[in-house]
Amino acid sequence: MFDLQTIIAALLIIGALAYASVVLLRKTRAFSRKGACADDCGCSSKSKTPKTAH
Amino acid sequence: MNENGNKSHLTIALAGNPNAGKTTLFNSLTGLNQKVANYPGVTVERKEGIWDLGDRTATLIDLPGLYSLDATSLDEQIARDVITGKVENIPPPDVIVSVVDATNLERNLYLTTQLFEYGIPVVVALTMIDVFEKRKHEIDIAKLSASLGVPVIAVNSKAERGKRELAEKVNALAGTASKIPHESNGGAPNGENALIFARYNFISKAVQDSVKHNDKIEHRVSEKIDRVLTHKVFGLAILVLILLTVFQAIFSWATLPMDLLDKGFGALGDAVRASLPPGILADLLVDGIIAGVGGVLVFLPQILLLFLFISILEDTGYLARAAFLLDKLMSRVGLHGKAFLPLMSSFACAIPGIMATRTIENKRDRFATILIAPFMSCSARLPVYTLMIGAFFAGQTVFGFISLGAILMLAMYTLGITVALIVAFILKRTLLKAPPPPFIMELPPYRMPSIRTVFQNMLTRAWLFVKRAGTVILAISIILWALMYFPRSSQPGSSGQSSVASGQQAGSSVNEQQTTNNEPLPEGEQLRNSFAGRLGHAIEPVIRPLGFDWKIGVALIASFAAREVLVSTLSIIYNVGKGENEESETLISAIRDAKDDSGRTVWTPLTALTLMVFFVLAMQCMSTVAIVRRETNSWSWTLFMVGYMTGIAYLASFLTYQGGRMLGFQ
Repeated sequence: MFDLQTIIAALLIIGALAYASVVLLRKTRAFSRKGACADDCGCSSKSKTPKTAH
Repeated sequence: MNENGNKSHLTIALAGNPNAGKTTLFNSLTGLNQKVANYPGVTVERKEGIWDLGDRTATLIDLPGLYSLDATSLDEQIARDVITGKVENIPPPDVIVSVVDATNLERNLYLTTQLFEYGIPVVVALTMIDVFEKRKHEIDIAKLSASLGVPVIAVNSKAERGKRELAEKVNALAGTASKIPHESNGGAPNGENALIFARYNFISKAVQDSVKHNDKIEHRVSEKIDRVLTHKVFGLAILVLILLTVFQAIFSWATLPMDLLDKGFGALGDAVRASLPPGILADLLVDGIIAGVGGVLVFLPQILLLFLFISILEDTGYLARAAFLLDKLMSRVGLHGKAFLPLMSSFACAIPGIMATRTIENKRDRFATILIAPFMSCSARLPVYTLMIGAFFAGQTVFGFISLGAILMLAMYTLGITVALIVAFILKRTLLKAPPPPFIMELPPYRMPSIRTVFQNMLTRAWLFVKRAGTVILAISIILWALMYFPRSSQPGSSGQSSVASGQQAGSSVNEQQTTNNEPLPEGEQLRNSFAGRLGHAIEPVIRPLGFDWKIGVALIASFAAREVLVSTLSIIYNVGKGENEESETLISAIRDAKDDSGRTVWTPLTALTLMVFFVLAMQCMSTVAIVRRETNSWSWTLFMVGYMTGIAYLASFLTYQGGRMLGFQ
């Protein structure tokens, strides 16, 4: 059977792993491309040049 | 049309330099009748509001803050398009209100002279007039108006001064024809430079005729100081001297609090060990958490001092002079003048620095700045440098009074800047070829630093450091400890049987041992058999030519999460690796005493120097990689950056170590 020390240590390690996974997941999201919104307000990474009437 | 035959609704453009008080005036004139959107297709904010002019109304368009209408940036291009009526759904303005900061009259009027050239009536709104008058300067507004040939109204949004008069003038001018002041372009021979000089001559004459400055002595002193501080030889020498003094102060003043913190964490570890029965939890708390987090937190005094000095230099106006000095160097390698601020921010952390490159209009200039920003020595590298200097170069002086540590620190910062400039030089002539656009830099006046601002900056940075230590570094320390602690191996009872002869045999021997008996291996051998130990042994052949052993290899891999993790990893590795009966020692002495498998000393001053060089140049930061991917929107550029930085770091470290050995250093 596991003693109390082992259980607490295991919980700490699991907690650290969970926290690191969340941080990593957030970083992974930061890697992803910025999406465009429905009407092109200019926030999309695809918009590069101003649309002007000539 | 209204009853007078005038247009009942006007379009007015509000133009002005950044920080001229344009937005304050816009808010004051339009109240809550505002609409904020973006200009079509771009991320430039478009602000419109309804301005009540009395007998008619106007749509007031707040143009982006700009210094000129040369259309070199997106903001300038948009402003020009609005004025010439080229933007969808925005009619050309009937009147332009040029917002001019009275305290920076000459610079602000440059844009106004350009606005004259569009044939649209212009009214000048003079802001910051209260600050101008407080400085005991005098301005003859009627004379300035006559010289410029357009109405000039002094406004103060807070005191409601000039608002009614401004509305009246705008009302009166709408629909009239405007004429360009003769001197602003007349007589100028062909060519853009001649036109620029003609505009400045016109401004200079108008200002001289109407403004009386009463701070000439102050100005003269400031100019004299600038002549020395921005001198290409003396200026650089003073910059080096200031940086040396800062680093020397950081080392000498931080020593006592750092020692106290170090001893404090050591004592805490011993107390926890004494109060808990021997076992896995005691090991995790002492060798993992206290050693890992404490090992990084020890450097808090240095971080505080570094940001104290940076804040003071920034607040006095000196950093702008340093920027001016380095700008010459940067423009020679092809970097945009606007690259300085992102690069300067990168000395604190590369992430805000890379995000600040958004102000650079040209994509190639922007990418070149992003790709070199991580070479600037960020605050996360400081614990690594300090640990190495503290362990091997502490107390040594050059010429009897300059600390060798301060010189090495300056050398590391300089190495980062030099390599960044060389890389920028190559990139701007190959992959990112583009001519650098002209850039005007404004030097702020010298002033006494504000104690409140300085302390606020320092505490913000310190809090970020502590927060990081309590979250990411704590989690990484626990995981690293687990990787160094497991699997637990045991040895056969007979003495003299080495459990593991080498890293390659580690996996098989562990399995054999676990089946034979339960006596645990000595801690050093446990560490070698651990997951981290096996990984370290696997990469050892690659890092051996740099003078690094497998333990440093483990720390190098771990530090990819964050650079300062190198310190916590070494702290854990040397704590886990020592026997249970050994007392906690400081990380510095553990590093000095560390021996490899053959009993040889692992760390020498040359190894420490090589590791510092590696850390200056390597891309050891996951967060920076993420932000580069996001800002460049390209995996190719991100991987290119990681690849070339790691390559340069390896090569430079190899040359340092092998070159040092050839010169007789160990």
